[in-house]
Amino acid sequence: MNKEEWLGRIFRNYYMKNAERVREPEMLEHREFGFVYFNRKGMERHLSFPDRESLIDFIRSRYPKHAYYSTAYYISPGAPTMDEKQWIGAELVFDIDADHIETSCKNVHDYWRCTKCGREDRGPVPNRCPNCGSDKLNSVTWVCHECIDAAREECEKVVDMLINDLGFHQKDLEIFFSGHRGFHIHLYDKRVYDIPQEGRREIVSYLRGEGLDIALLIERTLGSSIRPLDLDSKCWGGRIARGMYEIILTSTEENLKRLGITASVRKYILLNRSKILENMENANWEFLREIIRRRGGKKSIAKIIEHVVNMYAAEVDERVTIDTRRLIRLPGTLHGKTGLAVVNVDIDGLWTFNPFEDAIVLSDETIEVEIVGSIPERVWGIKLGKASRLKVPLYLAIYLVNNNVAELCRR
Amino acid sequence: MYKSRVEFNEYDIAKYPFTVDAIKRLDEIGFTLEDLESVLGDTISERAIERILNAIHKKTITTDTKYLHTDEELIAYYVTLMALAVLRDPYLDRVYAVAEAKRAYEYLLQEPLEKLIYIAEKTFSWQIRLLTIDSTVYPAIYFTHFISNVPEQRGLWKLVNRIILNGYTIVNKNELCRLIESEVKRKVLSDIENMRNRLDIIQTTKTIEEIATRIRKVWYPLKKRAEITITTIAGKEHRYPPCIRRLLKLAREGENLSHAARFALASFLLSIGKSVDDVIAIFSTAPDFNESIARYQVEHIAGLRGSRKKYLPFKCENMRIYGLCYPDELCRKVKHPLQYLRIKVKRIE
Ligand code: SF4
Ligand SMILES: [Zn+2]
Ligand SMILES: [Zn+2]
Repeated sequence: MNKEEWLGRIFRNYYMKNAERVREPEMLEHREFGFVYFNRKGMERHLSFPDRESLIDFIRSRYPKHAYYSTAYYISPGAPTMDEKQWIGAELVFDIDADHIETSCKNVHDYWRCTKCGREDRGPVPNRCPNCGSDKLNSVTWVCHECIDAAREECEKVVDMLINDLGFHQKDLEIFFSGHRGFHIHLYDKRVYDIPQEGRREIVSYLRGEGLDIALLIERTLGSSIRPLDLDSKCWGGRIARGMYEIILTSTEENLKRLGITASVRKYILLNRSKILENMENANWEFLREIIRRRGGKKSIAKIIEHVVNMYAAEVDERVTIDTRRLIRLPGTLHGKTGLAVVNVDIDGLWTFNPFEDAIVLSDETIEVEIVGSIPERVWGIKLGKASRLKVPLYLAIYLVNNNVAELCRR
Repeated sequence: MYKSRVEFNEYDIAKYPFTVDAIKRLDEIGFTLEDLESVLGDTISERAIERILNAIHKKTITTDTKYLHTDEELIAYYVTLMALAVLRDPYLDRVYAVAEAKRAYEYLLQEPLEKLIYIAEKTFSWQIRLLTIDSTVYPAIYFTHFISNVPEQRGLWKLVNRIILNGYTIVNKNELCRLIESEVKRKVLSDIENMRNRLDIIQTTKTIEEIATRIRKVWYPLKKRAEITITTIAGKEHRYPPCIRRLLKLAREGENLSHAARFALASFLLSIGKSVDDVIAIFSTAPDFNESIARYQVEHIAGLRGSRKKYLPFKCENMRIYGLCYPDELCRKVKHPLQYLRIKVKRIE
């Protein structure tokens, strides 16, 4: 029995009993579905289902390795081309993936090797080989609690901005664990359904704080009664104001130097700290003029802002949000690489969610695998040790085997 | 909000024939296409032709005040849409929609704030609030209307640089006019499209066909020129990065591109060896195209003018800042649109 057959059986058994857990999207009959199967390359797209029953039946009988649905809804979702499908609208989706966030754990658990020149290293997988420039790299990557925490943090920022800045309601938001290294946030508010690509692009820019024009903020703040910079405000102006406040509050010669603030500005800030803070609290931003007048003043402010933006910016995969024809994982299905389920995460319970308990839905019966590659000490909180044969729960065996570091022992 | 207080009279209907008030009036008049074949029909079809020709030649629609208080103007508008529906030329649709929107914009600038809000709320279903700050009242619109209608993604048109309260962003009157202008354009386009979808059901008439024929005569030679140059440049387009493909598509559809977008497109094409004339030809389909300005700009980018410095295309980071980056999978590997092209070409070889 090859690996894919083995996995296929496990998935089939799971769906036999649990296909009811699949959560179909709203307006199911207007969605396109796509599936990847075991022992078959590529994705089957352009499928559509009239109702929940037929979707569940399909998943039961085909037990897909990966299951997706379109965030868009169409008049004829099953049509082969986009023109014929006839786009009506799309929910707004945000994809947060630890792959795209810097974490130190990657230096411990990720590994890559260039197929062209043989260069290999631990740590985040580069886009191209730093040695020969080839983009054909083999990699083994893992997901751990630190990865998830990093993704959680970004998730929290996105939710905060969606609700507090942009005025959406928590009831219209749902978070799903992606089954691998991150989360998907779905926004079902009907006000977003017909936002064009350009507008979605702009929402991503907003979440990431891109294009912030500080000169503009300052000019408007100093010149009018509606001030973008305000400690209480719930948009980027507020974030910048609070970030600046924090930096000035905790400023030391060294801190400011590290941020790239010029000597003249450092001196001014340190000498007038309490006065500046007090001014900020009273929404008096005149001190900015004072800073700008100093040597390197403009640049110094820009440095501070840059720092603050990085502090608050949310790292989302823009491609997923912008692309209004994208397929996204179907909640309640299994992720073909990890065997973890795509499960709903309560927004208020974001920090207590533990994917390595809450998303494990496959059997924990012990099976024996042979280790054929290098494995981290711990995977999903389970200590693995150095033996060449290991007894592990079935759900973990799937992950190890899929990552090509273990093989099934013949029984 | 202002719905009950604003007076929307027949002048307004003639100025803003795309509004729900105008449609209601049209129903009341009870004009039919058969009426178009009568004596009255002549003035109306002349005006319909004039509207489209204005759009083609002047990029806006001028209005003789003699029309401004008549139902004829309103009827002429719908006859114009009907003719465009029959012509089935998406590019002309855009030219017309842009002109119609521009006309609306110029009128909107003269209106009191209340009327702008009235139109935005009633015809476009915008969510608008009035916010009082330091005893001044400011209109604030829900941000989705804002981002769907901004003319470019830069400076104050970017959401990050705005004051947002619970999803509502404060706009000034001028901004409001610009945003409505863009909404009008989309509305006109969708009205033409709807009309077109109903063509199977409603019979067009001899007069409508005649209008269409007369427009074709003027329009086709103009359009041909632009199309030919665009197809020559299109050859290897599938290798271009998605950001550039998108801009080309928009240009081809006759969309007005922002300055940054034009710069990005022109500098990219020039740096892969396209000629100044080819690049100008691409922009020539824009509704607000002005050959001598375009030539000046493109030659400037090419380094043939001014500082004689040849401009390099934006790197991805800047493309992103200007809201022009629409990445695909391969984009993960690149920092510059030209790099994308290089990888693609290498892969194809
Ligand atoms: S990543 Fe670069 S090449 Fe790709 S779409 Fe964005 S700007 Fe263009
Ligand atoms: Zn290499
Ligand atoms: Zn990790």
